[in-house]
Amino acid sequence: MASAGSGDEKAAAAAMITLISSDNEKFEVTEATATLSQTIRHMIEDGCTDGGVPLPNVTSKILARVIEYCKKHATAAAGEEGSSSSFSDAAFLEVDRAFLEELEEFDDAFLEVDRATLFDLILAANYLDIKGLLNLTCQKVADSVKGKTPEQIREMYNIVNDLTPEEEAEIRRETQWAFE
Amino acid sequence: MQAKTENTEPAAPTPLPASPAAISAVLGDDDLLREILLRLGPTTLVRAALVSRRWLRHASDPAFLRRFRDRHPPTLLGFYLRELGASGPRFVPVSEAPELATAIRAAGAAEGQFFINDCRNGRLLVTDFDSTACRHAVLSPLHPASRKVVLPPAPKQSLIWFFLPENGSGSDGAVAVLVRPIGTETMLQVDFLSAGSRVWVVYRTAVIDLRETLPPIAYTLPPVRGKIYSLTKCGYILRLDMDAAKGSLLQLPDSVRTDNFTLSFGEDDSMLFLIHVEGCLLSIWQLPTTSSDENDWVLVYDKIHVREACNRLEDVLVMAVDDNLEFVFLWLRSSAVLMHMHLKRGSEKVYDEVKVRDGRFLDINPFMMVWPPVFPALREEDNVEG
Repeated sequence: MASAGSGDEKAAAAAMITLISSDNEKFEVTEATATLSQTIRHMIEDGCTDGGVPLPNVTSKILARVIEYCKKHATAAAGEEGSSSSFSDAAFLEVDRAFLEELEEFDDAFLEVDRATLFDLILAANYLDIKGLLNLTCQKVADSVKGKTPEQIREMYNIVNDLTPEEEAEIRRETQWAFE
Repeated sequence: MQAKTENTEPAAPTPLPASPAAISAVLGDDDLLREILLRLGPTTLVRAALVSRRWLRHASDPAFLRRFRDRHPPTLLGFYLRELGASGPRFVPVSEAPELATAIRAAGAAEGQFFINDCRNGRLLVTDFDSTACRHAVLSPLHPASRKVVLPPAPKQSLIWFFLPENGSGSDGAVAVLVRPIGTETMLQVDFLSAGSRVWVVYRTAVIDLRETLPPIAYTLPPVRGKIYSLTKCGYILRLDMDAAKGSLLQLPDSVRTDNFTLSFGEDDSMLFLIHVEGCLLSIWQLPTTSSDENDWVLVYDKIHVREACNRLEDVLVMAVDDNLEFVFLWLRSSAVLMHMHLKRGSEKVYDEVKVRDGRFLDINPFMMVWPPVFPALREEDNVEG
């Protein structure tokens, strides 16, 4: 029974999925990595991943980054599940904290990208339904406008102001605390 | 070059690498724009609302604002502090969030000769000493350009208390609770008044038989859910229930044997909290405001150490608590300085720069960030697609 169990585990660990980018590049990833994407998880559940999963909305450049993110976070998830029994509570917490810190450092470094890549990552995270990555990238965009004036935000993202000067003045009057 | 791909691409999406198209694809998608707006702070949200009509529509959508509030509950900006004999209060900032810096500066700029009666959602109800006659007024420190709203002269009665209206009531004036003994000494007439443009108008009345003589009252809390809670000078809490036309005297929890406590409602007014300190140990009880049971106190924090007080081997006086029940303000008796304790984080801070001669004659009003932001409705809102 023990050998059967470990055989299953091996089979599960070895289950690989092929992802195909819009420019037709193939990426082999483990199921654990791929299923961070809810979209792909559903495709696996429906058994439609034979012959690879075409992702016509994601370029190879962006897909490579997304996979990098998923690999790291899949390992983190596995680590959290596996480590509980062999440590005392204190040691476990210590390991846990180190793990989280490492993950945070990874996320910070991961977000060191130019603005266009960041928005491409948001589109990919949204399409692939990867909650953690969507949260991370949307937060990064939100942080980029912190402390900025409406004019600066429009300029940063090339948005046309279609409010009339009167409407703008009215909003500013009602929300004076947000402006100097 | 990509013609050889056999992927079935319906209406080929645009996988341009690193293109500004991605930016407009994200910001042009309503769901994604909302996800981004949701992660702003309150000040940046208001500024983002001024970007365009479409951004304004998302930022001012009530469902969106509810989600935003869940994520970023209004925080404490700081507190107004007034010592006995001082002409007016001064503002001491608590939050250090850069996001709230402009709001904190506005709160700090509110000066004048007044005494704060009530403080709620970015507004102050004050007794104003500026003019020769003492009068009530509503101030909005976060709206520096808006004028002070002077209220009509109040009825000259001894048992009358003034408050700002409950959150979400839509009124921006003030209300008053007037208690008058009538006929036999145990009968009370309780009136709720609201400040009209020229006079105070009674909008609700109940006659309540207290079945005993009305005890002297130390202070009264703002009415919630048709109930008025007052601390009496005899160590009871008087509860007057307008709906049931019933009055009751509530015992304090058994182990509360001193008057070193303060009362406060929780954020949603469903609980009355009693924050008590003995020596350097702080305990908190709660009593549901819906409860008809007279003695339903539940202990929620049991003898937490105020570390600063323990270390200094001195006692503290409990002064005030913020609306979120996070910050408890305390006065270190021997050192004569103020401090706060953050209940959830367990952190403490001593305000060494704020010397207070005597904590017993000190008035502290925690001042919370305003919520929700008020956005004017746009004309042609329903027709315009922006």
